[in-house]
Amino acid sequence: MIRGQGSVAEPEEEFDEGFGEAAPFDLLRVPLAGRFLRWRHARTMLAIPMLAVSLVMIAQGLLGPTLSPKNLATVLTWVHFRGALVLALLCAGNLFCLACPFMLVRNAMRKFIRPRFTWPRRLRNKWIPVVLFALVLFCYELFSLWSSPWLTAWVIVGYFVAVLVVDGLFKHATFCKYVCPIGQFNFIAATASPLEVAVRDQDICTGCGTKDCIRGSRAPSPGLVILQCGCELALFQPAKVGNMDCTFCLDCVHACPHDNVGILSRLPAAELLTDPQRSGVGFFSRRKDIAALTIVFCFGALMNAFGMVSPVYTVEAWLGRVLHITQEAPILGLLFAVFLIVEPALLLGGAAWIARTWAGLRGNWLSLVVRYSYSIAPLGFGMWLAHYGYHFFTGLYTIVPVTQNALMDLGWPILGTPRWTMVGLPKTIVEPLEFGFLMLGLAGSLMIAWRLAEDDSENHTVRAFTPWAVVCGILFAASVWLMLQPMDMRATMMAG
Amino acid sequence: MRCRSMHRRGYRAAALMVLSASLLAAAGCHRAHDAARDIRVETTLQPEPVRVGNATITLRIADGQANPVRGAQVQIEGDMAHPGMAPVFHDAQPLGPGSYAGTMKFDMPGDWVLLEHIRLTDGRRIERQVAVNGVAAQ
Repeated sequence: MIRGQGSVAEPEEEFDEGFGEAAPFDLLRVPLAGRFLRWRHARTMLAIPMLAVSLVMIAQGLLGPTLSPKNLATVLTWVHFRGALVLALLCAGNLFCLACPFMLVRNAMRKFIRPRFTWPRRLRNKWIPVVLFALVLFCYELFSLWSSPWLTAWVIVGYFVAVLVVDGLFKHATFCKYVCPIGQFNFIAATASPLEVAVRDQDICTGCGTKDCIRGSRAPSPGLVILQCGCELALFQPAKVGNMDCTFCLDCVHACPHDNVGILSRLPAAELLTDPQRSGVGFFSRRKDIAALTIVFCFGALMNAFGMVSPVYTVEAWLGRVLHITQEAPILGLLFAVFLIVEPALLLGGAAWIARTWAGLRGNWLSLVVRYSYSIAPLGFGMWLAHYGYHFFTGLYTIVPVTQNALMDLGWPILGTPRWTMVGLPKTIVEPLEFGFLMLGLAGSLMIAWRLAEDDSENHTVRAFTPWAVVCGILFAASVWLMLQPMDMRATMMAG
Repeated sequence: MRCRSMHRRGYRAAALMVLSASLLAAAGCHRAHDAARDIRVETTLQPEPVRVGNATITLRIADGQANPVRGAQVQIEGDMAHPGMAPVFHDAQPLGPGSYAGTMKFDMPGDWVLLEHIRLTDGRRIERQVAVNGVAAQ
């Protein structure tokens, strides 16, 4: 394991010996926070305010001000939620899934409706989330979701409905593991998070006979009432590696009779440096679906930012003229196909071909693409951080006047008249942060690519590394270029 | 037993919070009532199309009988269509009978929305919304 305590999953680790010597920080050992998180109802208590806020957002989105900057639905979703999400992933871990309001509603529903089906074996992969993730990004641009409180509210409603339908029909955490696009975003980004739900001492797990962390526990009396769920995402703690598929639900923490599961610190992105067999996931290098998800995550970050800068309108107008198309959807679809399929195929495929030819790497072209695609995850995360962090920090205080306005509409102006001049941090502070995030992502990606190259070719490490480093360099340069473009947010792209 | 009771209390608290939030939101989300539907406001911008930088906004305000409305206080607020951006405010000055003009700085390219806050001499307040799409970079 990354913590150097020995693991069935990762037998040989040398890079992290230095990290393994010191006992990792354990969030569950922190006096107040740890005690709260160990409480069985901590997740529910965290999800309640999130659910309350979600309902306010739905109501405001449907019935409140039609102007996006004045509505809680749009301000909270597209400024604060996205920013807080990526910052929490950077500083801690998958905290949104921990406090997920959709799960609160789902759990309430499951008190009355027991799901009867199991998710079809053929669909137990990430291909549906890959498509959904790309579709969400596409719809965001096509319908300019950021400019419509009404549509934003319906997206939230749609999410609740989807959770209830999927998890009302199918057992376990089917929605989280095989459907939820936000969850998949979190899973990929959390590979670079500093915290991980993990066992404290492998030896205790070796001697454990009950395996409650995966099985859960039931009352011995007739009826076998479930006392505590095990991991609904099929992650067996002793063999779990990293944050992939972990929603931080803490069921394993509550289930473990030996108090042997913690929220432990680790080297961010260390789980991508090696390719062990992961419980509930398997080998990353054999998971084309997760590799595809990582690619959409990274190149989608570029596309999402590209949709908000001036050059996109020039490109769209040019494409429209050349192809004689006046509708936005096909042009946007073409751009997405270029960004999410053609560009990754050329860059990663080209890098794989060069690495194979030049450094003599074993394996076919596709297996190399799959193996090394995980190296670009930190860079993609850096881009999401730079983009969402920008909106979050520059619009940080806008929640104040929007809330004042909502209360005033209510006829209850306890916070005074809206101070619309309250906006956020100045760009002189935010811009260096953006570039810092990008550089952090680049460093992480290069570190992973180097480590994989070292493993693959001891004699020609530099040759094996260079093509992937060039890909990282190109993506980094593209990200920096995007960040330097003037922001230009239009609801109708083709108009320009 | 204690655990089960806490569990129940937790769910009750959840239900109460959710219900309160819903009521609060539903009650607070009524649309603003327009106090002067008979008043007509015509807005023109110069230059057209608008580019990043200063633009002159002229409002012609007339009542139901097409008589110019004099003595109104007009404030123009410019918002980006994307949330989280700083709005800009400018007061429009009277130019002639029923005519008011102000200069606004469009400091970013993209879609803007102008909110015209008008206060009539009889105390009625009007708010009009004008979309200024595709403000181009200079």
